[in-house]
Amino acid sequence: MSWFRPIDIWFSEQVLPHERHYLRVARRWSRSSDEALDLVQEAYLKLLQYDDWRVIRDARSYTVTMIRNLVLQRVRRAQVVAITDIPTHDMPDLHDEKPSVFDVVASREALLRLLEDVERLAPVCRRVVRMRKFEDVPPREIARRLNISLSTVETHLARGMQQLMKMRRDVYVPDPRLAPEGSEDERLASR
Amino acid sequence: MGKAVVDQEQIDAEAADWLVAIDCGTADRTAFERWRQADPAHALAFIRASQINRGLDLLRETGQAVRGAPARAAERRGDRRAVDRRRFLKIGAAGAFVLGAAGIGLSVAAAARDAETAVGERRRIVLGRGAVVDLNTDSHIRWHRDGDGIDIHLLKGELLLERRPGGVPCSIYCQGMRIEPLAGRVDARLRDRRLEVAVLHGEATVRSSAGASAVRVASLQRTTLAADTRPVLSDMTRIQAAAAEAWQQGEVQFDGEDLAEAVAEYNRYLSRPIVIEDRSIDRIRLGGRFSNADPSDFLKALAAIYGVRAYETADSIRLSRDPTPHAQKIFRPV
Repeated sequence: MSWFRPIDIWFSEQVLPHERHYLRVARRWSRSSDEALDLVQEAYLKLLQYDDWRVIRDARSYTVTMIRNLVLQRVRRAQVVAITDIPTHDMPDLHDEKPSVFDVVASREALLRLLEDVERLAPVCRRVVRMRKFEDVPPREIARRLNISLSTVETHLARGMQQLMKMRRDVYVPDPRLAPEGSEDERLASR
Repeated sequence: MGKAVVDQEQIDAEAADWLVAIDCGTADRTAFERWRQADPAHALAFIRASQINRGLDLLRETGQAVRGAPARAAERRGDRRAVDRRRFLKIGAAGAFVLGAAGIGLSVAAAARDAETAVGERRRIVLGRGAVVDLNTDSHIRWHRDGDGIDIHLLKGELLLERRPGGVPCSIYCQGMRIEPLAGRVDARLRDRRLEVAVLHGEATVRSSAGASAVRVASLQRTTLAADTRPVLSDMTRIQAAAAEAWQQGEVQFDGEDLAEAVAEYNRYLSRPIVIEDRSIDRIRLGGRFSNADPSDFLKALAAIYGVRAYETADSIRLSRDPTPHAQKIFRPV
């Protein structure tokens, strides 16, 4: 039995592959990269709670619309509105044709970066992650070879995975000291 | 460090723990579901962790993770561009990393030459540059390189081939019949020794046997190939085309089919099949789009519109309009 619900599979396949696009539009409609990240995260959480996700025909456009609505809500709450803040309904994004698998994300770079991230893990942790994921050694066999308990293997793997998650998040948390003016979109887009 | 960041790190740590526990076979399903249900941020973190996990698998499957590969020497010399290019070539079109999430198998052609799906499963395979095949439920393909192109043999079930302009040429073979898609999207389904072909985008040529002349199938046209029969083309409406590829979204779409046909289509995806108990309802016609993994909405619609009741047994779901006392004793209504 799968550990993934149909909504998780749908979300992973239909929503997440367009993340760069969401970040880009959210960045256009918000004042900072942090706010853009926040908007995209909020849209994701709403989608994952949406019971009728199956009726959504075009997940990418739907997510963009959702982000736009969140922006409008925030603008209304703030009550101070610069006219450029308001995303219009006829944004070309809403009519974008769905990209094919080949257009989706710079995933080659993402894979390369992931490989580099693994190399940056602490030595023991890296060793266990490499054995399990790259050499496909079963967890019990790793425990036997390294003469450690299965639960220690689990701890190393979990720490490694957590570190990899953190490294990927760090990529798109902007650092204003390093980012020259105007390059944030690129930084966001390049993750 | 802000509270939000700390919270997110905590959630990531929990998601990583669960993923590893599942991998090591030590996870408690009920406790996991409770955790995931507690907060959509948990579900999201678990999806993200699974994607990283899948990325690591892809690195292994595509040989990217091998230590001591020649690329490493170049990397030490600082020639990153050469390394990257070599790796890119090797990985081909692994745009799939981000798509390849959870639950749905995904592999790169370098890793295998044979792919199968179980009932209810879908799978995407990157065959080569600019060519991806999706396998529907209960299907089996085998493929190999032939010169500059790739020959795909459909042994069972259904596939959808997407080929980009300039992508590696592909031919689909099935029981002596042959499809050669130009750029575009072609769906091919083997049913009772006949091959149903639908060109959803682009165009393809088809032959019903090795010696037969080629017939061109244009975008939004379909045909059925059978040995020694000249293929007849018919046009598809947009609705019919959407129905033909609904399975890619994990759905089935009906547009005026009768119940017997609709149930047969549904059963392709269900490990516990639907059985029509009452022949009087065979000819009910229906339309709509439903999840192919979960027939409950479909059954609800049948009950609401036609008064057809569904009864669950251990190995089937039985449909009848006649809620006899006998039936109720045996079956628990869904």
